[in-house]
Amino acid sequence: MSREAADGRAGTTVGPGPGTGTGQGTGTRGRTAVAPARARHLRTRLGLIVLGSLLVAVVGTVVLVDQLFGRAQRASLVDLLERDLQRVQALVAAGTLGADFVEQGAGGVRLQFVSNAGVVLLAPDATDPIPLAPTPVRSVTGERAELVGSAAWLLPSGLEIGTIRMALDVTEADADRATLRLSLLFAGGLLALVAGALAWVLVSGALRPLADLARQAVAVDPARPRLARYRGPEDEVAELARALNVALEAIAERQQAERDALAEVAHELAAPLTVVAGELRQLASAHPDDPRVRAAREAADELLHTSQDLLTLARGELDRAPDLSVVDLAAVARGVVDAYPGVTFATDGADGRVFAQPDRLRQVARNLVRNAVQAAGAERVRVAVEGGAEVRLRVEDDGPGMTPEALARVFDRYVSGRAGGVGVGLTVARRIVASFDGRIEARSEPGRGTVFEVTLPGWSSQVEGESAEA
Amino acid sequence: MLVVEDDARLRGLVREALEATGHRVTAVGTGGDALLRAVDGGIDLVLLDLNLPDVDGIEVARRLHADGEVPIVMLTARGDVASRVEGLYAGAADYVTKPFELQELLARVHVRLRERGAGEGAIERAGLRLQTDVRTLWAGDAQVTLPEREAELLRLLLTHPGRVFSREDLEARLYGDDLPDSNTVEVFVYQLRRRIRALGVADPIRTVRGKGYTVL
Repeated sequence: MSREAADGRAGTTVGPGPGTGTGQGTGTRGRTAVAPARARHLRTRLGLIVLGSLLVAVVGTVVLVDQLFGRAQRASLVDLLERDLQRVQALVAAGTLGADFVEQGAGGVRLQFVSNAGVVLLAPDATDPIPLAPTPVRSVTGERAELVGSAAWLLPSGLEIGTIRMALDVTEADADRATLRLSLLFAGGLLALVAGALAWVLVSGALRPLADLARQAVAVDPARPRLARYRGPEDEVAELARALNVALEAIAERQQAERDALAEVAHELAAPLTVVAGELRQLASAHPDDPRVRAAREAADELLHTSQDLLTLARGELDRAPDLSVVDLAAVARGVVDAYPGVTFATDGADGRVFAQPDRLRQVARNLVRNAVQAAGAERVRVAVEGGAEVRLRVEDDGPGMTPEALARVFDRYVSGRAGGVGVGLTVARRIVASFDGRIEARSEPGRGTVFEVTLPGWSSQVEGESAEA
Repeated sequence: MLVVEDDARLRGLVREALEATGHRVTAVGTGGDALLRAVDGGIDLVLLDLNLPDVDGIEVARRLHADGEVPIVMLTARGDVASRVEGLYAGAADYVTKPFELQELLARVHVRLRERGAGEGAIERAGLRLQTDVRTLWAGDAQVTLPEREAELLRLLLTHPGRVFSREDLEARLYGDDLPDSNTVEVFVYQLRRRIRALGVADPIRTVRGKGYTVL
């Protein structure tokens, strides 16, 4: 198949990064997207709740204060009006008050004398009659608001000839009340806003450890859980952090126990396996034509390689490979292919040298080739190496291929595509490749075969000569 | 050659394979025997199992290393990075993880023996000649005497062409157990390069980004 066709297919890439372990790419990304969004939402919600409830409280307080102030204001005005009316009434009854007093029209106060017949007398503004109000009432005409009251107009003789009506301009008092209401609303609203913002900030601060925990929980490598770090006050979040760590610790312990058990098993098997494989190899070179010896040797080699894979996994840590040297990937791949008659090998002849451990690199090539041969048969497997600034090892087969679901899990541990396989070969290959700062990709479609491609940085791209040091 | 391995079958297999490639082999099963045999001398390489019934393999390596410059290749089923570094500090030259293929082991043994042969007397590479016993570095007629650790550093690099020595690796090999300050290896490399350039030749030491140093 052509390179273009292969590239167009569904693919999965795994390379070194923050989590080079077995953390499955898609799942991790999915969780990352959700958790911090939740945290922010809660923060906003709490901020809005504080803001909302404070606003309600402010409006309630303003209404209450306004009512109380209005009532008190009105009471004092009514009091004032009634006292003035009584004084005027008394003065009139005593005959000491004349028309000149009326015409003075003290500031904001109107005084009218209305006869029993309803005729406004002794008033400069007779055209603007003051209504009759035995108990003081509010009277609004146009823009003007007045408090109106009236009292009997008694002559010195005691004869009631009409009513004395008084109107107190309360427009200013109303304005005062409105100003008070507005200032209260403004101050209260400001307070609510400040408190809301403060709540938002405080809650953000309180939630930061939580968001931090969430980030750490998302980043946990299921293969190597690391305990979450918590920085913050001793509160519920601290409790959550402790609970999370208890869980992580349990997982880590369990995994360590599994690794120890695996290492123990591998250790017990190591010496006898080495002996069996070594003796059979010598036997096979002494009896090159005996198919039974050859079959036994191949089986022993396979056992040896599988247990090497298991041990690699059991050791767990392969972040950075030690003991690197310059290795020609083309030579390594050719050596592996030689052990599988029928598999074809090609190289573009460019520099295929990389920094790696030769035996680990061979393990990678062997696992990929073995995987392809088992899936498709040796005659349908092609291996190619391209050199250059990036060195590529490509293992292609025309086998049954994989569904996208199977492809997504192809590098997962203990997930085997075939019956009887342990499913560690590709996991190990990926880990080793990552430890050499490389990446491994798989492309496949049902019915159209599978391609595995290992990309490693070429040796020359990583080397600094003396000029760089000078 | 001394083979120290407690599993009798594996010991037999390794001895036969080494003898078949022309080595004279003494094989023992305990650390105590290994140390006794080592006193006799005449050993040019030790294959040492880490997991011995009496003395810990690391301890055996440490004592063997203290006695002389015999290269030690560790055999272990552990093989994790921590125990590998521990082995290096104890003086191991290489590490083979069990289970192993016989050819793999033989190949490593041959590499170590070749390095040992090359490490004696004078090493020539990249227009340089290092006289290890007197720590003198020659480039044509120009010469310079190197301080002990720089000479050892250059010897390591010149006798392992293509191999990358990480900083930790070099520290373990140059210092053993007494750890130096963190940047001493860089200082040595820097001074070594300066001295090489002062001889009027191109400096063959290459920095491998994030990985260490090598000579190609």
